[in-house]
Amino acid sequence: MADTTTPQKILLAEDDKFLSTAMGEKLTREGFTVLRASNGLEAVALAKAEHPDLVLLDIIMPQKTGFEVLSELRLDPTTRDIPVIVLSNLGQEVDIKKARDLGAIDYLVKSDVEMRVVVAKIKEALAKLK
Amino acid sequence: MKDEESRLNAILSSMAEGLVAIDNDRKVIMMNQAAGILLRTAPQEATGRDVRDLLVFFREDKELPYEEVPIERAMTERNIISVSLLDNLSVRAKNGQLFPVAMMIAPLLTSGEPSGPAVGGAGAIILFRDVTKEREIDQAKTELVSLASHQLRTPLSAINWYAEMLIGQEVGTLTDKQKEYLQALSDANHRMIELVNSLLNVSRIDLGTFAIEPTPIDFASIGKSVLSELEPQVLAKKLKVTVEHDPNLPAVSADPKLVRIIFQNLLSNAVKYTPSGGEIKLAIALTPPNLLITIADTGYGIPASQQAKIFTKLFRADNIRDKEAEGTGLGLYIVKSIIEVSGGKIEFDSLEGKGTTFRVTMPLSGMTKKVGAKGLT
Repeated sequence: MADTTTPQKILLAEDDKFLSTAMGEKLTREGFTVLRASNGLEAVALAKAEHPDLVLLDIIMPQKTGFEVLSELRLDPTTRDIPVIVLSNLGQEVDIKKARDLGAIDYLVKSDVEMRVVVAKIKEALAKLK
Repeated sequence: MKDEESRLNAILSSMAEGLVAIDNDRKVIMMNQAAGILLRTAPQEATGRDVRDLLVFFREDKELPYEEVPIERAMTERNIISVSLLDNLSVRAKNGQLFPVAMMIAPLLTSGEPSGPAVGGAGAIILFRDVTKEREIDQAKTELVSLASHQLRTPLSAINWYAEMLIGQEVGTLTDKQKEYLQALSDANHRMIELVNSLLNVSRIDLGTFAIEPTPIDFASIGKSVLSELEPQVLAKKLKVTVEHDPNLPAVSADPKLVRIIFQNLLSNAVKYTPSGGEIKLAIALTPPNLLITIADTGYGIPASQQAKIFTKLFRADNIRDKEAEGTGLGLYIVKSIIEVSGGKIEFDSLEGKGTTFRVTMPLSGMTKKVGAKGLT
């Protein structure tokens, strides 16, 4: 059982400032500790240093794409099991399949999903881990 | 006489478009130089040949079935048939290469003969040209739309999310008026997202890159689920909705996303374009070898003069433009494309001021899997 008194850590990898701020604030209000990365390199570094409980991952980011981040997290035994939810504006079948094949547990299209739905998916994923 | 003939020959050989004249037995009477260049065949070599061997039509690398060949249609219907870039037809030149074609076929009518099916006639004139360049431009346009749609989604997502937090009063309480205005902003933004999604779907259809992932599905439950999503609008307009379906509908192998798009567009149109107090009927019947889906409304109807255009991209009928601001003019184009790619058919009857009935037939054999880069959303 995870300790329910310590807030769970979410790594938010999103290069768009407006989206990152909105989602960051929402997650903070929902009681999560939020780590923010604004590019793929930062996302990998933060995941390795901080071992978040879950990663919310954009695909089109500078330095490294979300796909590259996913592959790198999967290669490192210390980050391999961190659940990753992709939150991208790419909605093509090929992208979804690629992310799933790389181990993403869910794939959400930003423009089609409300933040409360993202929060619900995160909580659902974290509950399964317990 | 001689002068006139040579003048006519000069005109025909100077034309930039290919011209082939045939008699009633489909034999080539004459062909001009431009046609010779396009088909890589010397004009004198073509004379006397069957036009069905000279002009072989293809749609996406597949030879066109005989009854769909536009020349045959023009000859049997005895009407002018035109083939545009959007028909996606190609013709094979003698060297085996295909080129995309735009064409106009005019049956030659003996003097005094009315157009329309009849015996007699004196052959046909076929005018055509290579539209490779136009097709490339069309492709570039479609790719641009696809790219732009993805870029547009980012700021639209931001508007959505911030509006969601404000409306949810997560950062302070709002007055009723403020809430109402923010909701209007959010609704408009959702319409914009829908428009972007529709544009993306259209570009995928036009590029031929959308995927079909069939799995056994129950059409009735998808139809009902779409209707339940439309309930707020149905209640607001006090519409009477009835659903009828054969109790023994089999599961049909089809792509649930595509079937949902069909129901969403046809049913939301019925709701949108039916005035308060009207009726909407959804019926699904088993008519082997097909499934017949009927969606009928008692709405504004489509003016008779515009019925031929309703499946055209961006078309909106005159009589609803001022009644309903919403609507992209893309829905029916998308619906028709999906149905045709699935081997189905869509037809409608409409009477202005009385209502519209759409009938969709889908083969019970289901959709064929198509691997594509992109699914429709």
